[in-house]
Amino acid sequence: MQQLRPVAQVYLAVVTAGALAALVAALAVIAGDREHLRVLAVLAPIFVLSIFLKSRMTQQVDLSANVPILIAAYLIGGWSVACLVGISAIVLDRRKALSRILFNNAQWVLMGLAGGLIYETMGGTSMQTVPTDGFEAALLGPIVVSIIAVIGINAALMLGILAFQEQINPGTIWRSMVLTSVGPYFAYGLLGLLMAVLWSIGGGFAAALVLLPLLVARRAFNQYAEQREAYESTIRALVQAVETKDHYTRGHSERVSRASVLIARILKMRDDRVEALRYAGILHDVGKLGVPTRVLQKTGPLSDMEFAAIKRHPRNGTEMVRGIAFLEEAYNGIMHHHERLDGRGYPLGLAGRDIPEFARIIAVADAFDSMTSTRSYRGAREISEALHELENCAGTQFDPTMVQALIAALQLEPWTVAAPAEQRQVDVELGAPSFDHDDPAANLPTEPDPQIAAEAELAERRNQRLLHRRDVTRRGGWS
Amino acid sequence: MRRTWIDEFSGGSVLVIAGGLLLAVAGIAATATQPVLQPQIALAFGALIALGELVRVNLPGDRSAAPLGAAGGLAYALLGDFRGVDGDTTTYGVLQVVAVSAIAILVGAVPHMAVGQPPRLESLARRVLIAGFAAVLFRPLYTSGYLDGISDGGWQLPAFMLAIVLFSGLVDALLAALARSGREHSPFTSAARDEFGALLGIGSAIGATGVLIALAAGAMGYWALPLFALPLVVAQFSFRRYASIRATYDQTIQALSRVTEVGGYTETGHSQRVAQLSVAVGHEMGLSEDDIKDLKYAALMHDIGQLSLTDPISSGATTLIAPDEQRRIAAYGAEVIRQSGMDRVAHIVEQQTEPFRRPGLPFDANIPVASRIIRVANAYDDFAGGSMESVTRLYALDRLREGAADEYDPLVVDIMSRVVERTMLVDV
Repeated sequence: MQQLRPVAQVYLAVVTAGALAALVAALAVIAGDREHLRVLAVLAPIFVLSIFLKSRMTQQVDLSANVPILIAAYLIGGWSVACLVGISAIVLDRRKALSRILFNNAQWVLMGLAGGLIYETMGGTSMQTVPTDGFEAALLGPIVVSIIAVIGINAALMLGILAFQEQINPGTIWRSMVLTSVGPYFAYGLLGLLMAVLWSIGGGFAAALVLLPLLVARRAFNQYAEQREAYESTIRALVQAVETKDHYTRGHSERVSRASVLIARILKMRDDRVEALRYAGILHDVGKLGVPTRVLQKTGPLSDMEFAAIKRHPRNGTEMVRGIAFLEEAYNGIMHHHERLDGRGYPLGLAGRDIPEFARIIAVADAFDSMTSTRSYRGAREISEALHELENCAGTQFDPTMVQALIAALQLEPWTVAAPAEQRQVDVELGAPSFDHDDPAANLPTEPDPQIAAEAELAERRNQRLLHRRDVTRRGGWS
Repeated sequence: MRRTWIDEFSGGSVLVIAGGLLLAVAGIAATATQPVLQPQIALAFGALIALGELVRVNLPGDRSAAPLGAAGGLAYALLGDFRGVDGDTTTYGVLQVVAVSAIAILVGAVPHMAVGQPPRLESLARRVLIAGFAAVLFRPLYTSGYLDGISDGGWQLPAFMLAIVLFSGLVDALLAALARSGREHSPFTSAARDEFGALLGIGSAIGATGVLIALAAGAMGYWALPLFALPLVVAQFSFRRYASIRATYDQTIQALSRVTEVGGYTETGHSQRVAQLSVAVGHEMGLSEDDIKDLKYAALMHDIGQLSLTDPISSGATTLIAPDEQRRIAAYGAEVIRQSGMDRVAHIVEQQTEPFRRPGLPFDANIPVASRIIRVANAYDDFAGGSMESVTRLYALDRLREGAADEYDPLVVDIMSRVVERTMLVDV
């Protein structure tokens, strides 16, 4: 962590001092009180161990077990026990910077203090034993208010450190952190209540049982995250297999995917569709696996037969990924990424709005990356030059909306063009292929193949019912 | 491969289903003849179980689970004191637990049947049996007052309940293994190992939730049901997401296996058939669930290396080309797979070209079983294709037997003959 700014140093000192004062007061209350000590002795170790349950993926909804334990601590033992439970995790804190250790642990103490004090002030009773007048009415009010206090303290303290040290705009923090954390916090509060209820019925042993389903949930969640990562790398391996066959496509799929996502963001596409489009971009050329390597790597002009083989790749690709349920909308993008707005593209010769949106996006991204990459028959073009060429072809080959969206996106985001391909041994021996059919300037024959068109028409119909699909993608959350 | 006597019960599922059915009928019949005790509680738990059945989830490893329903059944079996009913205690017996569970499970299953996705009968039967089993251990002791001494808020009652739940879980795993070994023709021991492994996952959350609901109901009454079911709902949600990404992964590997077919390198359906046959043999050989998964993936992708070929080989039959060429193709395929992080699968694909034994040398124990299985299954499919003709099939098996001992692992050939002959009886 970089040096603390002076104002942040003062802030940290105040927060730490507050937490220390709370701890001293808590110790004074608790000393010699066996009941309190017993609660502390059970909850503090669980709290410490919960630190290890931190989720691996920070972007994911975090099922923290610490907050429920802290809430249970003040429900059962009052604010003093909560403060001491809150500080207990410092023994295993592995953070590097002292300032972070101090701040984070002080935060736990102050959250316990605030929640506990509010709960008691509101007339909430200790849950050491079963409340005589039942759980419902007497407890719910104080609990809800105390949880709001815990959220408030958490938010205020974070707001402070982020504003003073990292100089992040408080409005941003409010939206991205506080608002999204209200839901999870009430779930934590409920879990804390459950632990406390169990404590009153069966003691610490029963209370700890509440965490078991949570643990299992977390494990399943981690498995999910792991599997997702594995999934990503499998897709990548598939794409690399294409790229070893076709010299031009090294890194191409990845860049087309990125450019497609940029366009989609400008169009304000829904998140789950953007995710599908991302995959569609990565996989748009996967059908080249079905084109004989001899044809892909051929030097010199292609015969009609050979060109027909290349033109089959969108259909091949669709054929391959069919059956992957969550890519349903991506099929269209893969299938039609070589259609032209004027209807002279392939495989179906669709025109205008009949071309699916995904395909119109990928077509632009595809051509853009091809033009900004080095080819044996020409050097890489400048980005501005490529965009100009796209604008020239807008209306005939490309959808002008998508071209404009790409231009707009590139003004907001930097773009790294393909690295010039190093001369490969194979290329030296055999000569590199002499054209790239993704390149709009390569002027290829563009008549749709009637037989392919008829077959693809059938496939297309099967694809038409697939617009909306279930989201299996990442959901951002508070962590 | 040693096989135990219990393997001969190829109708393990039938046994479990019959047991569950018998118990359910007995429970419902007995309960129908007398008034239902604490009917509101029965209704509340029946609703919970039915709801759980309604939102059941298919977990990886071909497991149909209804965590919420199972936990509800356990909780109803373990229910002691209940705040808000007459005398704050429950008095119903084992058979009422069985009856309520069975009826609720059926009610929850009806919508699934209506949309044409009937749940596996064996898993329904198991849930009835387990609720009954836990009830037998708990209810007589509770209703006759033996547990009064430990119902004072100490750790003993929770611990006792937890022990019952653990025991029930073990029995459930055994029943599931019995059904699985029958279904997959796998040895009972390996099926049991897989089921115990699965028990540690969502099973522990189910058990804990059952105990928690039962315990908390003493102080909270009906509130305990929704409140303590909530963590399990969260868990189930996570499992559902995991199951869905696993399914996506599976579909993707299947798609990958079609790549060589679309490219005209291999015959349509070859990889799928090799995978099916390999998995069937793997089950019979008692491979663990993880090993089966790797075997399946490797079999699906065993020909992916052919993509490196400039020209497709005749009908994609790798058995018919020179060993060195086979090896080169396999090595390339393994390289592609390794890039996706599936090292074990890559190794299996790489080793599938190794003959079982080189003349004059002892057999190489380092070749994974999965590779040996795929080698035989691949050869069988190259000889027989998808043919259902018994003449073709028997011819292919004869060719394999000729190669057994040197080219092919004799044990694998043996088991594969059995698998092929078994399916022949059905198909022809």
